[in-house]
Amino acid sequence: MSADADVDLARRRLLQGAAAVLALAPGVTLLLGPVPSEARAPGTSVSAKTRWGLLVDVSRYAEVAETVVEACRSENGWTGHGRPLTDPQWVRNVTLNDPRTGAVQTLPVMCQHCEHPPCVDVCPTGASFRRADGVVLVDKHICIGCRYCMMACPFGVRFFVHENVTGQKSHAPRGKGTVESCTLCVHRLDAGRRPACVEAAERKSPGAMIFGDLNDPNSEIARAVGRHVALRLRADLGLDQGVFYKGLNG
Amino acid sequence: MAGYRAIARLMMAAVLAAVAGSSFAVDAPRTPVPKPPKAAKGTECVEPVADMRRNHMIYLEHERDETVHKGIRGRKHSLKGCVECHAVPDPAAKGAATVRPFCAECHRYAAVRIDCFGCHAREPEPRTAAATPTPTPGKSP
Repeated sequence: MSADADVDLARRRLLQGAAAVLALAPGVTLLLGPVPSEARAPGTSVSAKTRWGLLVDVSRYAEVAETVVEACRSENGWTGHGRPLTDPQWVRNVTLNDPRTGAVQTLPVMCQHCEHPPCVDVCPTGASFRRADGVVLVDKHICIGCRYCMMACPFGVRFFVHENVTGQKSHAPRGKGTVESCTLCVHRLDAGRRPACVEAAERKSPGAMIFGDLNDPNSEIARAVGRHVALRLRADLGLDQGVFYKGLNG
Repeated sequence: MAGYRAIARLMMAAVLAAVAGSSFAVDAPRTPVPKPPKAAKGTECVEPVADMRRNHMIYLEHERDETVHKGIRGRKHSLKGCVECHAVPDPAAKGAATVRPFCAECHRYAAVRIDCFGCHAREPEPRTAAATPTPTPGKSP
């Protein structure tokens, strides 16, 4: 089973490589221009040169846990209706208790922005997609609300909007009958800013969450991921997520 | 001669009556025509009005896909842009400024029922420093 999965991934990577070569062949000039990975010129599309990633320092996350959820909520305007089973939680805090040692760890679980997202594989309409820079999104214009992606996601981080929504933020449209999840604050990324959770965490406890371009070897996150033991949730699934956890035990 | 003048006078009166009648017809036409509320003062639409009336949906759909999938922002046409200029006091929203009266005027007339605002904000974003971020060209975003 896992051998099959490996073959699939290897095949996919090979095909992706072939596609990249094909795409680059006619546009060699693209390579010559200065292409800073972060500050994208207005009017240009996102490119695979950037791979946005997030590193959470689990040993320090507990200090900022509430701040992070609140920042996400106010930035993106998602609210609950007092129904925990169906209310959206673009980011939620999960607490792990080890009964033998009494160790307690808190970590945020949100869309992990996989390189090979199962939600995209199962989407029947193409609404669930992965942007070139690694952000996994729902195009709510084409989402039919079938919720296959919610079943496919191993992390349970997608939510269906069951009720009419009012008072949305103009940069974060959300409405009944569609599925939603963490967008990594694309509206901020496109404006050259960092996600709201990262900025809020930075204000309270600098370094608890690090955001940046994993493809840039000089970025803070790439160096931190290389320096520390940074785990990804359910790494056995081979999804190659963009969200890393440092100091997560067990 | 006198008879000719009388006929000319009668004809003139008939023409005047016809003109008066037609101007009356403009005031209260038999065919109802939608009258969308004016946009915010001092603003000009991104395209000529006649073009927008016919093609706004095409502009919006084309650029929406580019924004969602390719992250191309700040283009000429956007739903947010419509809302910015065309929000007027809305009785259905207790007098708050929304774009509903503007859109609904023609959509109701043409029996178009579209659900843009099931997800998108009807109200313009409050004008604060945080709402209009300036891109910071730097190493780390």
